[in-house]
Amino acid sequence: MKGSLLVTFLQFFADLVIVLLIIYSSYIIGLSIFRRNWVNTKLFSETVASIISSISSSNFDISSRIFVGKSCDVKILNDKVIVKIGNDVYSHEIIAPNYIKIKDSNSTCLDNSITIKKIGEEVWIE
Amino acid sequence: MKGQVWIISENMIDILKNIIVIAVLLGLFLLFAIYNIKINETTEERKIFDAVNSIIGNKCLIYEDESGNFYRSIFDEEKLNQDNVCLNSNEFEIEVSDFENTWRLGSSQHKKSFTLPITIYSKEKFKFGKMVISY
Repeated sequence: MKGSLLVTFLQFFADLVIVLLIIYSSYIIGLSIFRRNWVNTKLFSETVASIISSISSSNFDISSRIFVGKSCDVKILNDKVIVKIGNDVYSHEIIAPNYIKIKDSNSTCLDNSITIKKIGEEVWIE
Repeated sequence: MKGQVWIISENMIDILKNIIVIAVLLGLFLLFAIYNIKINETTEERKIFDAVNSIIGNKCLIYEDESGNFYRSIFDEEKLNQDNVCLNSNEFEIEVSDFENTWRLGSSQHKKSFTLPITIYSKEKFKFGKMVISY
């Protein structure tokens, strides 16, 4: 009897783990299907913010063009990069030296690309 | 004693089977859990790298020669003594050291830190040093 009780207990525990696994994998799959745009906006805004941060810390005048495809709703507002893909919006802080002026600007999406420009102590996107 | 065979009971086989199933499922569960944690963690790491980039090229801290050229990742001792980071974020703590002197700028909770080698210009000499940035 002792052995069968242990088997029953282990089977219950195995079932519990299966249920947890199903719930968790559903969450991950759901995240990748329904929040795909959110993940893309997050990655996109972080990447653009990092590039702007690098360009700001340089002592040269730079013009850098980035191909972004169709998702080119990008703007700089209050030292943050704001990206919109579909209905999802994500903003990421730009870390830069405080003598650099990061101008509020919008992407013009010329040739499916955005241009980051730094002239003197000013940085903006076109 | 010769010729005796040890037979595992059916209960024992069931127990072993269940243990293997539980181990496999727990492994899968942890795999998913770790994957999710990694997605969340990248934001903090990215902020540290952005800050490192901004600090090693920061005119308020780096060495400038007589012609007005700035040298990336070469810190000027005189500028470090002025205690002015010139960064638009105050979430970071920067510790610059030449292994004789240490300069601490800013403050943070020290959740994550990143170390890199740098050079310090001091009294017309270039010294080897390190910078630790904490977030």
